[in-house]
Amino acid sequence: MVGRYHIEIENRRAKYILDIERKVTVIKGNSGTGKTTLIRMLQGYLAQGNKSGINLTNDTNIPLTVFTPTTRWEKELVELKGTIIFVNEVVDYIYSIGFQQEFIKSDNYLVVISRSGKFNHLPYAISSIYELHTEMNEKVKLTKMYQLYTYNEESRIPNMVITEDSNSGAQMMKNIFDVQVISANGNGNVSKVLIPYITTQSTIFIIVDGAAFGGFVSQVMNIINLNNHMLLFAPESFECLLLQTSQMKRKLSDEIENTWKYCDISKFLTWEQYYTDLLQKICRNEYGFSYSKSQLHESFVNNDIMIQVKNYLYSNLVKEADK
Amino acid sequence: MLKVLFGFDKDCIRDIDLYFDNVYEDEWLEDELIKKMILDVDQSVVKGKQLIISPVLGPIPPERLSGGVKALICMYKSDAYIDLIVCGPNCEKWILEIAQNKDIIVGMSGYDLTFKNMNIEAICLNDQSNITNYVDWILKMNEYVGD
Repeated sequence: MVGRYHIEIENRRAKYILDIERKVTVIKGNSGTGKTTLIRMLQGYLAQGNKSGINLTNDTNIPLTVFTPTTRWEKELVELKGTIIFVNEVVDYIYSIGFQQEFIKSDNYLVVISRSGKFNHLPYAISSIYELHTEMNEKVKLTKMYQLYTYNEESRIPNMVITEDSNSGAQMMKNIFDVQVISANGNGNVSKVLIPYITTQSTIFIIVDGAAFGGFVSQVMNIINLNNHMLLFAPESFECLLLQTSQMKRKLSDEIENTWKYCDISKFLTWEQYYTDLLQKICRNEYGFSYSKSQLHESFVNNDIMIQVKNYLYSNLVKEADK
Repeated sequence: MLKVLFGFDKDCIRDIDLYFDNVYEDEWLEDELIKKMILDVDQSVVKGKQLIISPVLGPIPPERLSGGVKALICMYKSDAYIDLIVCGPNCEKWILEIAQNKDIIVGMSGYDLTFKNMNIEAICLNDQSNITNYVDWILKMNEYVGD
């Protein structure tokens, strides 16, 4: 399954506009923003079609479904293909490892309405986390999705860097900043590694792959917000940073700007996996060497590439969107 | 006093719509604190025991209130054991207000409530420790929610 799907659903009072472009989308935020009404309207339309009094515009006719507490998800996830599945927090099985692992194997998109911290086995992007806002000035109130986190520019210099692993990205950051680089050995450990530094006066960069960090960003931002000297940078992935260097970008068309057109989720669980595959192909076919995630290739250890990577990194500071 | 068990507890109510719709009493909507919470969280005005005016949905019964407000009402008026993931950050101040007047026991299986810069006091039921400020809350949440 690949692509961005534009869905509009409305009745006489409310209209929702949704754009879904990744395997997992999470909708949360404040209470009273219309999340339950959205599910209700979808269920109504799916049950009765136009006889529900609800209009649904789905320009690609992508199948939609809502999972409920009584859905036989083990069977459905095997049988459904190319479908956008909506589910909300009342459905306890979505927190199980079994559901998350089976969903990963399926060729479907998932829209989860939940504030749970139990999606550790469901890699999703920071950019995939949304809240709903409603414009109140018309008779039919229009509700759209807005990203909960924004990407911003930064210029400070770190005294220390924390990365999620010790692979080629960490090696590049050591070359760029020439400071201590600590590996957290996994996304789930990043917040634990931060705890001893919550009163530090040193500037600490935390650098992670945004494409798979969505399930951890709330937890980490809570810690980071305790100290102005801690900064979270989350480009989609280190490979995405390399792909944006001029040496790589000239071999591409719009794969970075419009990844949703190319990332087939039956092959790539996250955009991070897609970018890795893309970079490997370019390095092999265009430059004659093998790209390895675990060891930074000497071709990338030069000032020009390091400066470009640093500049792109500096435009990926994560902050919570202004309310 | 607010007493919280961080982490996923299967006994916590997460289907707050189902619970509220089956337990609420009409008289609850005559309570001034409940009217204030409905106005603040849902931007809706209580007109009677069975009528609320929502700026988006129009005239609605209590069943159409948001999950967050239903959770607040159940915390205030019953002994429901609720997972706070059903509440958005705009419910934080009301959780603390309710906890000033009665003991409430809640679960918390997410990270989205921080009570930042609020006067929070609570007991962490995971280790019986006292939470005396929002930093304590964040650190205990970080320690136990992922377990």
